[in-house]
Amino acid sequence: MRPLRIIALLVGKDLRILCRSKATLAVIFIPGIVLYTIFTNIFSGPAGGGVRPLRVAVIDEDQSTASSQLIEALSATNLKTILTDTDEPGGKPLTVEQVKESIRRRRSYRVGLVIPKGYHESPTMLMRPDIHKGITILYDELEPIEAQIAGGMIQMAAGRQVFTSMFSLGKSGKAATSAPEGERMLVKVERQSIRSNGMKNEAKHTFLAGIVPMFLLFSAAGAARGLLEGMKSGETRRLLAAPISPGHMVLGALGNMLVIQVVQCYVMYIFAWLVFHVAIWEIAGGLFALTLCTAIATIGFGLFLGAVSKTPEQLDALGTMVILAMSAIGGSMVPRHVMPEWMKRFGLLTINGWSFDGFMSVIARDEFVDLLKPCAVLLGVGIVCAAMGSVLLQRRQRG
Amino acid sequence: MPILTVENLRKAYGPLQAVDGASFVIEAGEVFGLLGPNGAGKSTTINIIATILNADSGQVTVSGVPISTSGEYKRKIGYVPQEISLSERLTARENLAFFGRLYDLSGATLQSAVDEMLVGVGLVDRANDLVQNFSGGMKRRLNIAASLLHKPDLILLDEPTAGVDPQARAFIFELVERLAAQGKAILYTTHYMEEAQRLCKRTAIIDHGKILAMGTLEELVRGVRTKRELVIEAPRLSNEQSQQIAEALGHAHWTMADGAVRLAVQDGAPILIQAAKVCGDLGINPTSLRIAEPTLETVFLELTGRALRD
Repeated sequence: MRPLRIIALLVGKDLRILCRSKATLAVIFIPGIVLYTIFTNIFSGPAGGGVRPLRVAVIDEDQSTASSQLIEALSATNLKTILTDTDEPGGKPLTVEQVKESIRRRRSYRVGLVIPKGYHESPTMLMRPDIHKGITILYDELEPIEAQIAGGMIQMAAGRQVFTSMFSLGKSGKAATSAPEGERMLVKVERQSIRSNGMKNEAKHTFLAGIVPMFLLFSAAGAARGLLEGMKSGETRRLLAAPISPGHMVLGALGNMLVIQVVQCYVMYIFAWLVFHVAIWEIAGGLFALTLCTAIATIGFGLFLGAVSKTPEQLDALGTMVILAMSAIGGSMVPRHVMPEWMKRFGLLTINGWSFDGFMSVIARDEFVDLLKPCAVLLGVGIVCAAMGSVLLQRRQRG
Repeated sequence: MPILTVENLRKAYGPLQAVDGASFVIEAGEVFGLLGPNGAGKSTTINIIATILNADSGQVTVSGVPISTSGEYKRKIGYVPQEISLSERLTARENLAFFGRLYDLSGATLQSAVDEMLVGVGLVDRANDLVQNFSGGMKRRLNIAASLLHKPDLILLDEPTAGVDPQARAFIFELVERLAAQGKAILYTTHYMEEAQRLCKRTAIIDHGKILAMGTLEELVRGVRTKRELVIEAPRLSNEQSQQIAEALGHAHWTMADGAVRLAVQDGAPILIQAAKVCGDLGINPTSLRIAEPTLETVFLELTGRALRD
């Protein structure tokens, strides 16, 4: 019995100590709850909400009863069809160019359907496969999942349309032509990427885009921990007593972190190039600009986290929680293009989100102006956070 | 010539008054001790003078330059923090060169300052070794050297012997004395009485942020009520026996600590003879009979009502 009593005593003591450490308790319980909430929201919509409808632009070049029926059938599935350039009544019908541009700019929809002229002559492959004109799906290769969903929905809507037609034709209706052998689709679907020169959205790209900011955030939090320890150890005090300004000190520390972070990233990029054949040299300029801005943002944020934490231990707890949550929301754990729209927008509150989008723009070889926005936001976040962190740390150091 | 002048310095952390109206002056070539227990306000005072902390009020001037974060003021002080603040993965020479460059030393001037310091702290043989391989005492010496490269007028030493062995402590004492002999003004904080007694020309006793007394050892001792003490040590000395000794010697008050009875006395030799006779009469065989002169410990005890290490 005694060994059990001793074990119970030891367990009881450790539990009591644990219960008295709020920071440790927070690290143990909160990240799990936060991550669970985030992932549940990504894959099943907000808590209490239903299944999210997928927004799809439709260009009806056929303007026939058949095409209208298809659009109606599509709307009856989980697609929200957008037919005009405004949500208001009386908007102009969308054009292919408008839709391509909207998808490229990641506006309110990521997929466009083109119902071609003559579609009504044979809406499905079951009728006249020889004259059947399929539907074209315009999509972004960087975000392929929604196009796949839309493809499935088209088949479902077409099936519903066939069923309705047969019901209305009744017994006298003509028998449908059998589908060609080996062809299982009701409607021929052709997927057309809006990008002509970009790279594909492959795991090797999305995970690199996601991992880089998360990795840098953890690295920056580690560096901030070093800074806090330096303040405790007297190193900072000795520097403050020397004829250098606190601003120089902070910039020196930040500069050091920046060099280390950029080198860390390039080690990762070169690994990705060697092992996974990620074409980093073709996108060298954009990649460098984005890496620099992401590093500045994460370093500034790390410094800010350090400044609001009283001790290195508190920074560990706070940093882990905040970085994991930002990483989950911002696309470091789950690619942003599989997230619901609201979460994509929410993700833009994080460094990871902007870095992810910027990286995907670089991969897609978007125009330089497309990269400017994420770079400017990251740079701004970095500068503001570093300034606030620096002021707070100086205030604390000087009492 | 006064190097450091501190007037009515105050610093509070919320309701806690860390420094409460401290005023003192340190002359060139003087080692001035700031003696007090942990949390008394010694480090806060030194950190304010070093511009690491902002004071709430008060004046500080070093060699006539008022306190500020300007290079002119900072170049006049050499701050040695309590902790070893060196880079473990740099050599002794690299560490010194780094701190020298912070004070704009370069080229041959830097080289000669580094060499001079390495000789001064006895680390020439280890100049190119990594600091991580140094003993605690060697690190302490280098820690001091790093603050002297730019030849400051005032040296702030914040408990420089904390955690060092007696040999290293002796080396640091010798170094401090050498620096004072060179005309440097030194502010030396410590909670070791013997250090203050050995090194400091004048000492300020600080507690709860207030300077309670200040002066040379003689001046401080003169200012307290407790004078010399007769100390009688004997095996298994009981309280009853102590009382009997005190009564026989005409004393109403006595204290007992560590098996010794202590009585405040005025004269020296005569009372010793008298005490020896009283002990013989009472059948007590003392192992030691002596007169203890008042020390800083006595002064501190009387001023604060507690021992320095309480």
